[in-house]
Amino acid sequence: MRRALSPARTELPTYRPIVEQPRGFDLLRLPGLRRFVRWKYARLVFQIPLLLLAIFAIVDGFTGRQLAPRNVATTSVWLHYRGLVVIALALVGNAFCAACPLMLTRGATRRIERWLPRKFAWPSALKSKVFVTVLLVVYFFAYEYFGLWASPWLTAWLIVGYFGAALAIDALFSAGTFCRYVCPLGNFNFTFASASPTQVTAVDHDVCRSCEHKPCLHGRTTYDSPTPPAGADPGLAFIPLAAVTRPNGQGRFPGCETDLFVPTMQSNMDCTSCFNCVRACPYDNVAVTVRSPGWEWLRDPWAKRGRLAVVVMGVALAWWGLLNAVAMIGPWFQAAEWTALALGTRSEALILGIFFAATTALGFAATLGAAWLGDRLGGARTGAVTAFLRWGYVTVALGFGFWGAHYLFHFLTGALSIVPVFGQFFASWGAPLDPNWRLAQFVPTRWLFPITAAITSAYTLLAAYTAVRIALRDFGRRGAIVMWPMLIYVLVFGALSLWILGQPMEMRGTIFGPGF
Amino acid sequence: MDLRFLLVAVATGMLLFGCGPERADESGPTGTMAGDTPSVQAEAPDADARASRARVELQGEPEIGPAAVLVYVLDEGEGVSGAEIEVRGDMTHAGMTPVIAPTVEVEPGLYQTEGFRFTMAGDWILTAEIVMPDGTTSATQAVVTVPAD
Repeated sequence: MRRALSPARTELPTYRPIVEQPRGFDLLRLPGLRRFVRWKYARLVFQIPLLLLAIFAIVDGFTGRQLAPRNVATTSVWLHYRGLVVIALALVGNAFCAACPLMLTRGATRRIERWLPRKFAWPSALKSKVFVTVLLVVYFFAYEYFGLWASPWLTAWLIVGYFGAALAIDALFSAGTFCRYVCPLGNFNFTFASASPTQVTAVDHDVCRSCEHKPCLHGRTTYDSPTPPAGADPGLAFIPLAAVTRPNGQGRFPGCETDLFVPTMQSNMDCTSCFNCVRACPYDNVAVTVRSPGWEWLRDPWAKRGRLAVVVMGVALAWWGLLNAVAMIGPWFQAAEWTALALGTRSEALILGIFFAATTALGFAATLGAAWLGDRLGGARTGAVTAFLRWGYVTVALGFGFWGAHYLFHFLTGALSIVPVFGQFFASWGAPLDPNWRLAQFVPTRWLFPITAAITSAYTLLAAYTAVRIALRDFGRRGAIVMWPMLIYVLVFGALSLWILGQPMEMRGTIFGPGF
Repeated sequence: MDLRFLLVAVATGMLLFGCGPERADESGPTGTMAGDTPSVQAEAPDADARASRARVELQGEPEIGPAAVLVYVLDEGEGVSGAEIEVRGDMTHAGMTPVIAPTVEVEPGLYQTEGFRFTMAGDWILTAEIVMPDGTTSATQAVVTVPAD
């Protein structure tokens, strides 16, 4: 005989998350924002201006004055894009991936697809962040070796190459392959969007549980008819207009191209903020939830998105950030001269390669060492990899603080120069403009170090907090001892960051001398 | 439709490959401490007929701080008096604050900056924007590497 459930056990909880997700304010509840984001062409509103900017940059990069401070290509890319991307990541989220004009190559992609027998499968060996990490180091090396920051022409080629790569890869492979497995810029954004104060989440997980087709992931087609009309994409689930909560139009609504399933998302890794999920969800059940910065650093979310390779990428980016800034101060050039003398070489490629290898090795050794020591103090007899995976997020926090400070330094130093730069661009095409080249700095010079030091210090504190929370989470009361190796590592990284930011800059074209 | 797309792509590619960076003799820096570059004529109705030359160079050794930049302006071998010249110092990285200074005429054809200073070590491109007495404009450049203290 079956026992009747007691009254206390007949009521099921009304909310049961599939996984833990942030439970903060839903930004889409702001007046008009949900309706706008669910509009099919919302993303175009941001993509088209960036596409126009890219076109200006390409034209001026190829045809304009080959002087970096006076060219749209170098100014908009190395100054404004980099500065605004970290501001957006810190205050909002992955706004630049959301507005990425590279995705506007989809029209051309579809033309090319007609000539191909089928879409190809992205190689499994490249389905990890290892390939992207390699591309990142190639990119950073090329940046230094070829002086991309000083060359409008090369910068323009970089932009053209990016569009070409996005076009080729999205034509040959499934949509989203370029974003997830190739794009260095996007993966930089994914990594440091871990610091962002927003994340896509599900409003009601029970709705997701009962959802049959998961259109947020797979997409849907919707028409004002009970059955799909002729010509509707047969690969997508058909959901009639009448079944859509707060209908947002008819047609094709693609799902997440980087294979993120909304109710299981616990990080911003691989999220391009395209909001396909918001538009595709027929129940209007997707939120953009406010969360504390670093929320995901405490929850090991990258375990589901590639684990070791992803954490490796995050740690590498943090230390390459230091390298990128050190390359602009005097000690870098002194070290280069000393190394060249010691090795009896004047090969810039070799010296740069040595510096990159040394910085990478030092970074991983320091992170691994502090992580392993912490685990040992906690009595964990796990290996170095486990320790690295546990504590690696602390370095990501440090990395974002330094990248943010560095990029913001350059942005604040010369943001207003975009006005005379565009003035010169249009004047060179006949417009009666006289550029005011005195427009450059956004803030007084004496404010720069305090601002950048404050940003670095804030994220250093956040990294320390993350280390403390991880220690207490995984080791209980013993965490009070376990945290110290990582805290010392954080302090050293923070001190090094402040020292670099405080050094007088010395912008040279090459590692040994002028770039002329 | 596809053929037109292909033709546009090929034409665009040819255009891009055909556009190279400015050659050094147009307006680029010459790689020497004091450059002696031909002037770049922005507006010169009869520039071919005139043998006008301009040169910008640094007085003394380059170092962080105040500096005197000299601009020589000659027209058919004679110093040009009454030109309005502004010297701008740029670094090779976009966004670094430029240094802009006016000049005063020291003697016919020789102008010296007032208030110019190198604000940091590194590679600098000095550009002299010249407005001749007859209204024609030109520019000349020199490159300087300022050592760290």
